[in-house]
Amino acid sequence: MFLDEQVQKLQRRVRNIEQNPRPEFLKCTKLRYQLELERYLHVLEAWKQGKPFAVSDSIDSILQAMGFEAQGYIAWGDRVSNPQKYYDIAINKLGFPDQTCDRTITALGLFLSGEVPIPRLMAARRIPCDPERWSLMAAAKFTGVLFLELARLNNNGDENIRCIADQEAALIEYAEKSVPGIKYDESKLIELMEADQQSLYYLRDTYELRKRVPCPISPQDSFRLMTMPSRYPNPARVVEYSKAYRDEMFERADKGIGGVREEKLRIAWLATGPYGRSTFDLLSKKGVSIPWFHYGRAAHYFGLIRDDLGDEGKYGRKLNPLEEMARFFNTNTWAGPSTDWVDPLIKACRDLKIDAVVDFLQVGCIPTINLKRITAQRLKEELGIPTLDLEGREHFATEAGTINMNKKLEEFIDMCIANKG
Amino acid sequence: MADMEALERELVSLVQGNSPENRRKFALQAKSDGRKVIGLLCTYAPEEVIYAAGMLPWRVTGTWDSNLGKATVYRDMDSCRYCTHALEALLRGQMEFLDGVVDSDWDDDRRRVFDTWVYVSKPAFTATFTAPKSKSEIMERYFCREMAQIISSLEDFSGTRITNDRLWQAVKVYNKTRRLLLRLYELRKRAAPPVTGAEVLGIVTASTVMDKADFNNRLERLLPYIESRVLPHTRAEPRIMVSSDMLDNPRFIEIIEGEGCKVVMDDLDTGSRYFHRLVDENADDPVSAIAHRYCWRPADPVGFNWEEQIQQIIEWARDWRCDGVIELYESFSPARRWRAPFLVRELGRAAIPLTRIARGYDAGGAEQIKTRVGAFLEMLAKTPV
Repeated sequence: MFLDEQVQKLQRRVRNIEQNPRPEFLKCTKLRYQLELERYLHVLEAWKQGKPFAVSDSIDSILQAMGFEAQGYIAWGDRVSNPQKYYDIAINKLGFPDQTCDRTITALGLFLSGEVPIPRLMAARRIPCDPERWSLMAAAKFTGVLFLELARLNNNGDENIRCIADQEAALIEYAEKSVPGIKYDESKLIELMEADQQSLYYLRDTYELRKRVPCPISPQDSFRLMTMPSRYPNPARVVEYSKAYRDEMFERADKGIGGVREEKLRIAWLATGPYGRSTFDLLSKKGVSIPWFHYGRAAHYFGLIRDDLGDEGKYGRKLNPLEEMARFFNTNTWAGPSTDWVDPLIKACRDLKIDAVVDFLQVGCIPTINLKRITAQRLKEELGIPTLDLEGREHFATEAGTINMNKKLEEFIDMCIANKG
Repeated sequence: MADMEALERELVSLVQGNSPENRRKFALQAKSDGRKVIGLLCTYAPEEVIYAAGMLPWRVTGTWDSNLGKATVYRDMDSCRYCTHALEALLRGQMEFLDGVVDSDWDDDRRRVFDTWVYVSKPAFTATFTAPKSKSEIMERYFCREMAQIISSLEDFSGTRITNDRLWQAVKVYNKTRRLLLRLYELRKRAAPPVTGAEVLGIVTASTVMDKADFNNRLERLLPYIESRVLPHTRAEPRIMVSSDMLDNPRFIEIIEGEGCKVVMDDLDTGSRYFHRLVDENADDPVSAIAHRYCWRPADPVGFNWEEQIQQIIEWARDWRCDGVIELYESFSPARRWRAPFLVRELGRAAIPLTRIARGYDAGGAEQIKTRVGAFLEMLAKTPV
């Protein structure tokens, strides 16, 4: 069963770190795994006790402030060890598409497998990332779970913030009416948002460090996404982890420790991290640092977009908590207009002395695939750096897929290193 | 008799209004009359406000041939073919007359084609808006405000003030189009409809590239003739509804009808979904009235409301007494592919036979479609009534 597997996997990882510490990795990663472990154990216990779960791709904090237990969806799908089992459920048994982003299909298959709780409510934003919200919708429609939508809007501004906040308020009202025991607690939401913001500030501190040569962070650690305290049973401990992460990064930088043995190339990696260790090992072996991993939240997390909790500058007024959530919602640059995605990328590449870019194009990912030419052209024209279009999957059907992908990546790295002289 | 022949020729001419040879003519005519032409990539664009600015709203149709050599530099072959064919037409210089482009955030791919459109052609006027896919008062209020922004941008661009009077005038013209098209669709409820499904698609899409007032005059003149028209099909032919998006080439419907059935209704954003629901002409404020119409028009697969979308198909199938539904989905339409298991389940529960057939945007692959339609019709013939 999925949740038990995760518990066992994380217990194994913690043990491995204790028994075989690897100096190139951050020490605080052990705490991160412990937090993950704690989260899965919490879910198992809540499930056992029959507590109400809710799934969302964007408003976990609001759901938790209402008293729901937060349940993973896409992130859980990412962690399955036998994806074929879940493809069979979603594609072969029910007929969902086989040429879409495989993350969304794995998540759907897992959800319908009975290995995770059936939530009382699912909430999805309309855009960006259509497959993600369709996957959520499909999950809800096929299990009879209450489904609510939240439209992200096209034009960013005060009206937008108000409209999203209105939708959030409507969602709260509906959930309170529909699910017994659910009651929105605004102070809880504020507490969760503040914890998230504190973590974000710690992470943001590391942006300056990433400018250093060599970059003090290993490729594998570069792909670790920020841990949002609001998504864990004990948010205060997650804030502690974020601080430990920042402090350790500074310590490594001060000692001149690089994330790879001899840095030969600095790469920005786009969209989604590679899946599987072989790619990380290849990058390390070749002396490739990843000072910048450009995903939907990166520009905001690292301060390229300054639009933070409590900031009255942008809107000229104090936002209420639901509007603050809307603001956070809007700082995601994923799949929006091309300028939202490429402008901060160009800035990061310039700031961080990036030599080349890998645009990781996951099969079925329209937002990246049909933007690749503009991205590459702008990087070439504005910074003179090359881009590799690297097609990949979360789960290749055979090992040959990963081998071919890594071969293409290796050739690109060799070419860039040679050109760098 | 001579009159009848002239009317038939006039009908054929209207049906072919959006053919590759003709669709540019309307835009070029508008240009020569001193009007600006605004390309629309989304049928949710509130055309009335563009029309009220004295411009011609002109729906972008992609190339109908299969050569996509220019567009595939920017786009993956495995993505929305309407977007790719539309971009191909742009890159081939077939839309040099456009003064601007308006698009929505319909889906991931539509945003990307708009990005590319703006990047490569740098139009003088651009506007985007949130396609109102959630039917709620909140979204309607927001759409109203977005419309106000578009109006303001259009006023700056055109130098024409878009007054309430001008908006109400535009509403009247557009509502007339909708009423005329509804009249046309009502005729399809007859046991022997006087128009084919292919002809109807041709007429509706012609309305998207013509000045609506001209279109209204032409269709109004033709409707009495169409009402009396008799087509040579047999009564035994199954009555079919076609469901799809961005299907603007009547050839697809001809292929289906050529297999021995009557396409009597459609669930198309270039068909019934385009014109159903009127703007309330008695409302106080034209902007709110227009916004209300677009927010509450029949739902599309990209929206959240799968239940409502499918209920609409079921109702239309019953009202037009359809024997079956053909979902002629564009191969790379993720919305329809995600919705498919739900559609299959719900139409099954409603006992409405359904077949799903993939298509491209150009009408290549006709043989595949013929084979599948033939099999479906055979299955319908064996289904006890």
